[in-house]
Amino acid sequence: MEILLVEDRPEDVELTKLALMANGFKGKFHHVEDGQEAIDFLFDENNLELAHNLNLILLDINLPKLSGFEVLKRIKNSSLKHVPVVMLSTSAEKKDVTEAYSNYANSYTVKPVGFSDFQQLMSTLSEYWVEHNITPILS
Amino acid sequence: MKNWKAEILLVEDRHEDAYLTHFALEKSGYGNMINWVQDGQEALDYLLCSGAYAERDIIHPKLILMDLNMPKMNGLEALKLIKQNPKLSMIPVVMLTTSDQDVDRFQAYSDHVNSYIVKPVDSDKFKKVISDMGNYWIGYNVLID
Repeated sequence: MEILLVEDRPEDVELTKLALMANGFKGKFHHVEDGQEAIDFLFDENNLELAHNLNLILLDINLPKLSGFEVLKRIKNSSLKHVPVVMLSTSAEKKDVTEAYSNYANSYTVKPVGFSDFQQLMSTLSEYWVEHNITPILS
Repeated sequence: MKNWKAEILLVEDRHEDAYLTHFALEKSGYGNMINWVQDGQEALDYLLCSGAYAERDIIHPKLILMDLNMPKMNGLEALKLIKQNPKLSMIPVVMLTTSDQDVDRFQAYSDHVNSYIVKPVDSDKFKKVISDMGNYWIGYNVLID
């Protein structure tokens, strides 16, 4: 079980880690801080197998350097298109939601402002995508 | 965070499986939101308000739970048509199936399935999966209003 979080806000990174641990997540948690780092991580030839076997990419939309949408497009137009991508946003603006689904995001979520609501989202989300969702095995 | 106006379209040909899924959703509080259709063709008719559903108002469900093996039009064919149709492509489709075959999963993801769930045989695990699925897709996944 491996998750990649693409998130620039340190407090959101910590909360996501906490929620995963609270759910007994025993897999590997990878984290990169901006869109360019995400591309470098995912398309690094040395990481090929790891990238293909990711169970989930949690992708923030508002990122420095390269936006989440640009990263999403790259993923879904590549051999990594089978990896589930859940968008993390601060708003449910129609244009953002439309752009996400038009580019084949698997899901779109809005980060709640409060601590306990955020933790609840991450708990439900990680349990669903890590425990229940099945990805293709590309071996 | 539950949106009680949400609807779930359950596409399942086997009455017993439909009943079990319905029952599990009901236990999780989503019982009164389900529309049940019995094959891929009926799902498309429902979504496009055609055929037997010509009189239906176009209100898209928040989630489509799609079986794989069905008569007339199977789940993978229906998925493909839904994801190729710009009016329907943004509705999340979750494959809910007993098939754990690589080829089915690979095809489903190639045709942009949102999620793929293999039904647990154990009934308590099944209820847990269905409950978590409802909580996630109805409670947290965001769609265009």
